[in-house]
Amino acid sequence: MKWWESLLRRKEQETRLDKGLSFHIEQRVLDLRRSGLNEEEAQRRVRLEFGGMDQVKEDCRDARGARWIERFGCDARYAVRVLSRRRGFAATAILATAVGIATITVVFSIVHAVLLKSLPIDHIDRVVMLWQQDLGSGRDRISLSPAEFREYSTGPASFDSIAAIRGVSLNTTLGYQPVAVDGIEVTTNIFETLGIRLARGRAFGPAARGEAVISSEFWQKTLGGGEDVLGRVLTLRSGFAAGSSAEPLDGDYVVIGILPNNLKLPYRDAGIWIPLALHSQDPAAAGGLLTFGRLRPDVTLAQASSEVAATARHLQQLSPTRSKNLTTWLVPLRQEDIGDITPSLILLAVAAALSALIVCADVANMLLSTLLEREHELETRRALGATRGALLRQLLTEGTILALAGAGAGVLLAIWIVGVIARMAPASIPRLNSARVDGWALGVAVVAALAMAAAFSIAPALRSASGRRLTLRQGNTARGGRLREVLIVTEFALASVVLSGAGLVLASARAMEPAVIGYQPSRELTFRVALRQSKYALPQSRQQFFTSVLEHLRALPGVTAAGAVSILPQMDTNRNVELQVDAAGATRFERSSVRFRVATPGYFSSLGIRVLAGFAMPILPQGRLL
Amino acid sequence: MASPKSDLRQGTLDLLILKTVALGPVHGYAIAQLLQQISRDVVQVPGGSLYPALHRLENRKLLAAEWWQTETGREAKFYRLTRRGRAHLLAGAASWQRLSEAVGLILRIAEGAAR
Repeated sequence: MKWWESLLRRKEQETRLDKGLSFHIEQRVLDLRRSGLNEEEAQRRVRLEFGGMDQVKEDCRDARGARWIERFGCDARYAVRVLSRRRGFAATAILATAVGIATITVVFSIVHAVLLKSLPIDHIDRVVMLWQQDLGSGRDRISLSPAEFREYSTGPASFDSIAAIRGVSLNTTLGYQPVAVDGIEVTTNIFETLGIRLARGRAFGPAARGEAVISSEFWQKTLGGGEDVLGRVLTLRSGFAAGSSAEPLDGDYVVIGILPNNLKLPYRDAGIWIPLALHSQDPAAAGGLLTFGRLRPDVTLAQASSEVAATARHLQQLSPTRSKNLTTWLVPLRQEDIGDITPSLILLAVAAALSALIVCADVANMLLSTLLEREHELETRRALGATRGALLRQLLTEGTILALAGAGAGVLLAIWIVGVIARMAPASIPRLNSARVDGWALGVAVVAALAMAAAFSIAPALRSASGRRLTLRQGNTARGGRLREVLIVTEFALASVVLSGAGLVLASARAMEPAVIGYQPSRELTFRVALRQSKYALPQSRQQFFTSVLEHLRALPGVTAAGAVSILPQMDTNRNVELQVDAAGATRFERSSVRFRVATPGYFSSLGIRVLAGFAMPILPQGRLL
Repeated sequence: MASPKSDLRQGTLDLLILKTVALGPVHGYAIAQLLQQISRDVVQVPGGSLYPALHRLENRKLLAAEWWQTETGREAKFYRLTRRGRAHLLAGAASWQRLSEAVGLILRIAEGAAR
């Protein structure tokens, strides 16, 4: 019989035990009477032979196993009675535990979502992004032009494959509803390069034109998540963007595959992936290709880097006008994905663990001081025959109940906090918005609670089991007093560590804010418009559109300024122009590239951007500058 | 009445119970009676030792139990040997045999024989 079975069928078992034993006794009495004893004498003899009935039953129950859980039930009921007699103490201890457990659970959920759950990419440690770097201007993430990409994709042998993507703004129509969606054009080897297993459907075939793969999120949220999505035709119009591909992307696309959940590529989170066609007539200067490479298993990052650098030198030889400062470097995809937040998160995790330790010390201390008040009770129980083990078990049970009650409250608190954090998550921290208190987090909470239960009970248990009586003798108080002093000192030490740790996290988060970005984001609203390339092919029509939109916006009550820009601040542009810098004393012209944004004059006042020198664009009456 | 309880190791009692049950399905009281009769009153197992042992053997799946009617019309718990119980009995009996022969050999040595 399984132990849980015997637990569930306890009543039945008890009656059977009674029945079995009384059968034995009756038979024995019968036999003894047959041998000539009278009823009374027979009964007496049997009782003598049998020994204490309750002791025998207890032995039988022991033999059956599963006693610990019954005993725990007993201890638990007693512990609840003890704790409910001292409500103030219990409430404080549970609250402290709840805060500790909540901290641990919240931090674990965040760390789990951001650091531990990585992108759904096979062997992500072998995937790198290939960037160019301008040593002159210090710009470090310059995208590749089609010509450069071609050179890298055929050159280095360190890679299994090299793929490129390019962002594109797309419009489509669902029913009568126009929908703007971020898309990327991808080289068809992107799936093998990144090591992506599609959730459904297939990757691009040899005649990939007119095929599209969509993200799980786009499928679920925009297309409704229906099973019939494969084979559905989306009519896509590419939004207008300066310097976009020579060939218009407009047309009908058949959905052939769905990407796995939570696949968000750094810099380009796209709902629709369509094939990228590179043409030789693409302007050499046009950048915009984000390049991914999959390293061969036997190649280290350093080997690949030096090989890529050699290709960069080769490119330099091919095109003498190319900036000499342009080098190439490789960044592991995981690093691009997680970025610089790893140290902060580790700090946060350490702070959480320390705060949990403080809770342990705190509650253990409280339990210890209540132990003195309970001396009478414990002495009485000992006098009534409770063994040292039974008393220890009792104290451990009380600690466990406190910890579990605290853990229950703490987990509820954590679910709420994580919900709030996920809703307010900045886009710069990947997957933070998907943080949940899931099974793993619950497991961590339970383990933490059990560890706390042990921690709560150790000090009191040591005290009560020290072999000494619990009575308040002078020597004894001195001992307990020292233990408590140690706890208090530890607590203060830990508290200051946590405070400084939390302060550091805050400071580094704060440091990212206004100082770096150059404006104060507080009352600005933004939205995106991707004009249909075919309809707004003429510059004048685009100018007209934006001028009228901005005028309407400025006319709205409560709007103080309105402007437009090609790419919002802090979003990566990856749109480069080449400049020829006519530096004084230079022996020849050198081409360099900078990132640029196209803005309307109202843009600067809308965001409150100060211009360091000179003046911002004036608003011309004709709206010429756009 | 001298109680052999203290003389009977737990493993030995288990072995005796298994052997008795191997003769055919019996209830607890009959086991005690059989042990006493076969051993000519040397082995007397009090209920206080017998029943915990039975529960333990059942828990270890060496014995299986069913409730049947006795001849007198009362319901009693009848034990029978499981396959595991039989294997345990064979192994236990063999090792006991070996040990008792060895002990016998040693005890039969005439004093002074080693010289």
